[in-house]
Amino acid sequence: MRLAAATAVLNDVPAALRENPAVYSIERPATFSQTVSEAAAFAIEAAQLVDLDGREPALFCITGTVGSSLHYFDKAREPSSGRLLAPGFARRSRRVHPFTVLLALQNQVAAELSLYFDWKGPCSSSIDSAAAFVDLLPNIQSSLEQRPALVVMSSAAGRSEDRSWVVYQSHRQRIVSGAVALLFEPNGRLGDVRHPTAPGSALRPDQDLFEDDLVAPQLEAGLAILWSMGRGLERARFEIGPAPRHAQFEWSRE
Amino acid sequence: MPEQLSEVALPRGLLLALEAGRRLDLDDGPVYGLVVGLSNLRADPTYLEHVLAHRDEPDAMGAVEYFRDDRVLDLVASQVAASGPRIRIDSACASGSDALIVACQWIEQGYCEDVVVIAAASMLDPVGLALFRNIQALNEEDDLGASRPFDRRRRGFVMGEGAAGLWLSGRRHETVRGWVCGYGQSMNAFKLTDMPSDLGAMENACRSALGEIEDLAFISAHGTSTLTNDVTETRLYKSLLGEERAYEVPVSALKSMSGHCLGASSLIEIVVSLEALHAGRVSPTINLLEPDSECDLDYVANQARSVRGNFALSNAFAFGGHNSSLLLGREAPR
Repeated sequence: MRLAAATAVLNDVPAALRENPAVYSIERPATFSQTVSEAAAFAIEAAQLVDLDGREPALFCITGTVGSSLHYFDKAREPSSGRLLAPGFARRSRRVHPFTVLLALQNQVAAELSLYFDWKGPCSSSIDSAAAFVDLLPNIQSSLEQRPALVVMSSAAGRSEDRSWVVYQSHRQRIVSGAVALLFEPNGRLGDVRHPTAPGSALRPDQDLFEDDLVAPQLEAGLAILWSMGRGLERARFEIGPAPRHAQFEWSRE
Repeated sequence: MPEQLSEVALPRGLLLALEAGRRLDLDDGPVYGLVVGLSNLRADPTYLEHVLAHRDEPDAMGAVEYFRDDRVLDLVASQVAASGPRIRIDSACASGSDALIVACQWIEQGYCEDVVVIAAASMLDPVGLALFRNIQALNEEDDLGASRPFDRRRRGFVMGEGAAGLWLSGRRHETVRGWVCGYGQSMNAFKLTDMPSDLGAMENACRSALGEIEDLAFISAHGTSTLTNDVTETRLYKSLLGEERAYEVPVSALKSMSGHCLGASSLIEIVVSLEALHAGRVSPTINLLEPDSECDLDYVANQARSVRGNFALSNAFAFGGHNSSLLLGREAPR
């Protein structure tokens, strides 16, 4: 599949990407608010940098953690025990902000993108699958028959319990939040992305590309492509996803 | 399958997904792909109680690992012995149908030949109920007549929970329960929890699924029993089919019986619709005793009945503005 545009907006840019003109550093995305999650806000920032020339894409959202909303539940905890489901929860639960349910939905990244850009085309919203990009390549290919395809990977796992989870899982302390936007179209000129046609060794972004203390949940595939482009590589193969599901894809300049 | 599964908490939604997978009668041999429609599990009370107390303790996160990331998919894949591609879909109430669409495209593109599709949801707990209550989406009447799609007395959706599973194959089989003959998706680009007055996006999804088919046995409606959805859906079907024909096609709202099973609902409705097509008999919209004057189509009120036709249109219109429509067939598409 032909890549037409690639860009990333991150709160912490890996050293290997700091000179890449398509990678932007941003501490707090502009639209991040009580009703728009951090991941959705990053996704909007990244998508804004892609020139669709007025066309409406098929949207593929690959979403990790959208950002902690745990603090909204603090007001509903029973004061003496700290428990949520202690006697009186029905009354205390009314203190939970009404928008909490919306912030808990990971498809809100897709929804906010659609709202912000007035995109009404087809949309696939996948979550919590590190190898999702690889397994969505056939679906992206299918959509190209009718319109360009915009893949938006997003994650905001740097706070509260989300941070603790990522540290537990990865044993790394630097957690990259942000979004990567990749535009595919039949005449894309930046390169080609595909499944490998034969077995072979591959680079793992989390081990081979970035610093040892850094992890970029859900963003690895996109950052790997940007890394390849920034280095001027002719071809590269990457493997993403934790055991037992190691999924590979190839990028090439031709 | 992890050895110490009994020592970690499993979210109820995941348990329902595993149960749906366990009940599937799958052949040995094929390399199965897996698509799971299962929304965020992090509003589960067990998860919340734990992370509220241990939010800054990485070492404590192992106790809730089956509420996050790839662990969920891994466990379901292990249950159904799926060694092929796997992905998890979350488009709120359209998760199940969108999961099936992903599977269809995998087979169409030759990525795999057999895909297990499972959708599950459970927020039927004090936290889930509180979250939806706080946005005034729920009808909490405590009787079996509370879920009443298209009835003028409807006051919001009644929460349900459940799961569904099916095996989608691109190969020939002796026994086939039905066919997916078309699909369509769109986004409303409107408020997250409301439906637009401009039905164009919703209609586009339905038209993409419907194609040139006119032989509709029935429509399986989203039919949530909210004030907005049911009126909007009625307008939609009149626009989609034309004023005259819209009155001839039965519209069935399964949520009248099951409640709204959130992300699982669309796949549950697809499975029921396939069986209904097979049997030539559409399930009723129950509790429809005082029809809303703005909802005046044939909703198969209160009693199942025989239908003719080889196709059914199954729709889901979800929080976030996802529209997902599938055309199901009793026989192979020509």
